[in-house]
Amino acid sequence: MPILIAILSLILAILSGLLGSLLGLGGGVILVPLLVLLLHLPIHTASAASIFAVVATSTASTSNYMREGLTNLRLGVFLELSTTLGAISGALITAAMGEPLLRVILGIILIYAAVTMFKKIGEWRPHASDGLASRLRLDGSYYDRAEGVEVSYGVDNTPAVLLLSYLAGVISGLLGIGGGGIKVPAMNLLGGVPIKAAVATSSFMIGITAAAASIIYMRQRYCNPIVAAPVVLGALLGASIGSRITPRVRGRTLKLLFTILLIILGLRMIHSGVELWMRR
Amino acid sequence: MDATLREVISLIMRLGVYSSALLLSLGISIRLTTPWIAGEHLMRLGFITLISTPIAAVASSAILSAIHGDRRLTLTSTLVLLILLLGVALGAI
Repeated sequence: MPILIAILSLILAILSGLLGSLLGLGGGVILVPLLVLLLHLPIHTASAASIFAVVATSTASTSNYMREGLTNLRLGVFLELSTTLGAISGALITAAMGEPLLRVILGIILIYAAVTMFKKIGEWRPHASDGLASRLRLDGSYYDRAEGVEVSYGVDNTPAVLLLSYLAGVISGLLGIGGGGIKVPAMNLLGGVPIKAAVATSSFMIGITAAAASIIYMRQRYCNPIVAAPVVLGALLGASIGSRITPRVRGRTLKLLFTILLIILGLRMIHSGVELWMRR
Repeated sequence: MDATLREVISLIMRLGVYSSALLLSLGISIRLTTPWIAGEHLMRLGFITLISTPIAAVASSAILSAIHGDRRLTLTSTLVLLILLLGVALGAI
């Protein structure tokens, strides 16, 4: 039986790593519901396995983004102050929260992610750095290979971005997902950070946040190595395959399929949470 | 300084991911095919290596920025490390 669970966890993690990589997500938002609904694992075990996978995939992609010069290290470390605090709060709250409520929260987040998936990110325009960002020298620049130009940017609305980073941390610690879905739009739309730099900086931050949360999951003994080890390996494999096939995939079709999948998983998650609550 | 720091962090990240993947693969193979306890220990080591990697990246940011006299980055990196330590302490309760 452990072998079967390990193999199925590996397959699901490859799938979520692949989809996560194709869609620019950590993959946890797909993996947790799949582990709960298909393998009937408790949500705490699924979240613990997922958070380790999130550390692995974000660490692997950050090493590439760092070499490309896309990651804004100063901004990432500064925002990480509030995100890590959020992750610790979330991971501590999760121990006190019941399984039904966690399932319902995850269901709502899945549907929210599906709805926002199709929302077009506004046309980026350079922002001037605000007072706090100027003092901390959070502005950055990188060479955009696709456009062949050097892109320089400032960081605006720093306090609001910091607050949203805390919220992303709470959700990450609570449910074992990366929280990139909140951080990237916050940096891009509010902070005026170009999307490529926002994705790369968010990836760097996700690794640190998830590491903080996974320490707590490990200490609270939610980590089942038979599930977590294949999930980490599968997520790494899936993300690596995904990054190779991304240029050949038609984005719109994939986004539509993914939106439908997220809505189905979200509704199933809410239904199972309510059902579990009624049975108690 | 930023370019050197990025190179160092990139190297730490690659080493961490590859070594943890190796430890986890070995550990799960031993755990599922033999009765040896070594599999459990290797997997635990793999998880610890994985978790330590991003933390080591922040630590290297704190150390390198301190060497280069960048007080702001040293301060923020050190604060992040302290919050991570707080997480470990709270998780122990």
